[in-house]
Amino acid sequence: MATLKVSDQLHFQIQHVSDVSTSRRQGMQLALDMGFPHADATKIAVVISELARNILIYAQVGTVIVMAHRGLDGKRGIKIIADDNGPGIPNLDKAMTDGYTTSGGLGLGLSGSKRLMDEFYIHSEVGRGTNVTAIKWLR
Amino acid sequence: MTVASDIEDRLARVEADLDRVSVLLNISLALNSARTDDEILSALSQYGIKHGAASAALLYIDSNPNDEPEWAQIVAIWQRPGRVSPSISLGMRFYLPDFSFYRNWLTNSKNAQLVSNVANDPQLDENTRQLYLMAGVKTTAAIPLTRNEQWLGLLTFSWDELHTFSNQEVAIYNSLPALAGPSVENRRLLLNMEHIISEKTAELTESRQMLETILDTIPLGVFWKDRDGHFLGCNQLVARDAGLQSPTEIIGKTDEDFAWRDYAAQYRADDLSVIESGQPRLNIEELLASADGSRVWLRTSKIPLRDASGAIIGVLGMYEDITAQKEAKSRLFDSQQRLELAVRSANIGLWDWDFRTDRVEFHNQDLPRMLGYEPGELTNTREAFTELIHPDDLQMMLAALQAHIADPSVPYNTEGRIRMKDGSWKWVLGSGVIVERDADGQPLRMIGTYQDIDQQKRFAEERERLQQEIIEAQRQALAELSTPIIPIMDRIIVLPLVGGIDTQRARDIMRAVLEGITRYRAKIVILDITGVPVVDSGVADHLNRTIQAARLKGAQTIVTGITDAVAETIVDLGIDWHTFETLRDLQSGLVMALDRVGYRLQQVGNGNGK
Amino acid sequence: MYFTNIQKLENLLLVAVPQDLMDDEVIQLRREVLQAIRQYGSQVVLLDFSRVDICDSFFGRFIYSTSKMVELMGAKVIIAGLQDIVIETMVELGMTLPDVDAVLDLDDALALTRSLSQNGGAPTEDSAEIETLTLEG
Repeated sequence: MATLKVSDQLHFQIQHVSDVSTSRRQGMQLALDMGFPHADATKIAVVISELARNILIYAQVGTVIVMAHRGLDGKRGIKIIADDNGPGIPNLDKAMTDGYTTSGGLGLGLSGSKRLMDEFYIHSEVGRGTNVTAIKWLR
Repeated sequence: MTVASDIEDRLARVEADLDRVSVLLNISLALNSARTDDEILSALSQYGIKHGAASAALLYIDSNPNDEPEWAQIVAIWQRPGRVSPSISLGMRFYLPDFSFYRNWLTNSKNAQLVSNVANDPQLDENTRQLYLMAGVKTTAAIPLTRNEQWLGLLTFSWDELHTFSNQEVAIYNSLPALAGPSVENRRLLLNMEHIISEKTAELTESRQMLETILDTIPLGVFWKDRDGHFLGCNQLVARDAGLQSPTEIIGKTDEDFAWRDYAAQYRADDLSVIESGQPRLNIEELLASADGSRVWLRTSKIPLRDASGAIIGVLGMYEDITAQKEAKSRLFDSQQRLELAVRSANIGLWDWDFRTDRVEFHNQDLPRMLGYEPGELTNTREAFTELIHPDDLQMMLAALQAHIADPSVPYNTEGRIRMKDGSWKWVLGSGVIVERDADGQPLRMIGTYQDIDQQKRFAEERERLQQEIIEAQRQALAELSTPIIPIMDRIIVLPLVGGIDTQRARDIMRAVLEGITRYRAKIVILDITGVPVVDSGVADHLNRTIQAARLKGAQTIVTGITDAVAETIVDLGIDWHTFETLRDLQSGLVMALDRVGYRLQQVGNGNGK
Repeated sequence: MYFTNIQKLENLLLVAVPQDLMDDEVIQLRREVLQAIRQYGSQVVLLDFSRVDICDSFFGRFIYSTSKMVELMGAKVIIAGLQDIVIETMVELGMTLPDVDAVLDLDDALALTRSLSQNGGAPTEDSAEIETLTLEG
């Protein structure tokens, strides 16, 4: 297991199915420690799970970073960064639609994750990899 | 060894030396012109990049008070185009105690650290190794940037593939600290200085502007002269009184040059007495003729003007026109008597506050009596009176006073509680006006009235409290009403929705429905949307989620209150609502619900004998 | 390593889903459920989710595929005990499992099973007797 904890940042190397459950479990704990209500911490855990599994399915290897985050206006939140050097997503708009899947899943991973978070950015280059950054603010 | 090969060997070494010198020379030249962090990194990193490094970073180190390196922050970073590593990015800070490899190295040595294979190098601690592995780094070189034994920063190179360092590379990396130290030190000093200078400049500009503003806005003439009586400067007001266009025109002139030249000898004598004695002369009141010939009262003060060493180099003078004050004073005497008369007949109390002595006089002793004190029992200083004011009201009263002092057009009219002799509080309405100010505009005397408003106030307070109670009760009723769960029969709950539905309300509704299902063991949820003014695709979406949530909890939903307009909207927007029952009104919804539960109840009754 | 608790109650197969399953364990759980149906000839499989606190789309796919497979074997999957927060997250994720029936708790599950037995298939004889089968993997 490759987990690196530095201050309030969690770095996960995703390369095995167990990394998916470890990252979501520890990410949820970080969210709870930061004072997120249980419902929000659950949503954060699900998003970590979705992003980590996407890495595993499409890129085989990648990293997920979960960290305490402070916005420019001082508000606090949690930031999830998922990054891989996999094949990339050829049609991003389509991938962000409910029900779109190339892996036989429910096709809710990206579009659903976006609904669960407050901010969601995705950058993907075919042949280069995919980077997803998502933020949920503490209310 | 033959002579020829010996010479070749030596030539090769000389060539390598020359090579190294030229590399270092180039770096040094680039460094000399580098002004920013990015330029410093660019100058220092060219060589490593040429030798295959996929990324290079410049970090500044901040030490703790014990001079131990504590934080390292990436201030500049270069990555090979296309390479993205979220583990290492601009602005990232590393707490060095978390990375024992770095901490140990930084504490004990100031040589370049080359790690040929990150995966198995025994010097690396696990955190550092993980950080590198996650960034895809196989080989790394870290070069210390120090100056006079002090840590300034770090330069790091990273290779994505395993990289073997040549002797030449090792020599260059080991030479970089000596080369880069001064540049980085300069840069960091510069950053510090820029910071300090910008702060100081802002302070200075501010204080000079402040001084100028003060000099030009105070209602005082201010001037300063040298020991020989030549003016060195003055403010706008003096320039105007002297008939000059601008204060600078006064420089070099003497009192003989102006309309007040008749008094020049007397002024000179005053100046000299101040200059020679070193004692200020304050508040000299005198009547004299101004530039336009009218007679004015002036109050003048003069103080010695000293240089940095303390020697007296001249005199600083200030004067103010007190003609109006002098006249007002005589008028005031009359009006004061009239006021007292009026006050006495209107049966309100009168107070008179002298700011110079800070004493408050209660002219007809009504206030002390009102508060339950015998005449003379109440200490009549402002301080003593302030202590009687309720702490919750004091701030507000002082603020009102300040506002009136700052701007006389703002009336001083304030209500507050005052402690009675028996310790209870009485509401009093106080009003007042400043009747006398000094030359600086500072208040000298304030006269006002007070009135017992305790009865009125308590009545108003009670009314306010009742109102608040009613509002709070209504608010609570509304909050419950917005998601009111009504259990109507065994295992049926009704939720009549009233008002608009936004994302937050939709979430509240969903939570209320889920809790209601558990609490009442509901099998049927009737959502009545008669009271929802607009059903658009957003509202439809929210309702759909609630219905799906209810289903996952084990309950069916019937949506009632579908008007003709709602039906049109739903179809026109292409919203799919066929997964649950929809009905025109609540009554038909209830009939359907009872039918369903009744059917099921019968079945269960047969099964387990309930 | 995990423990699955699969119990037989009347013609109902009770499956207590563990709190946190790794993806491969999910697949294994599905296999065990199918085996148990074959073994007991159960008509209804009740997946009890009351211990699950994170349910992502992979998990949703597991419920969905299990339900389809169980259907092929002539039985039916119903789910129960989903926590409110889990449901909220699921529907916001867009995962509403439209073809899967849910009940509030075990009582309702039994009532449903009995009504199914009376309406369709033959009721099983061993009524309230509970057999426990613990699988370890």
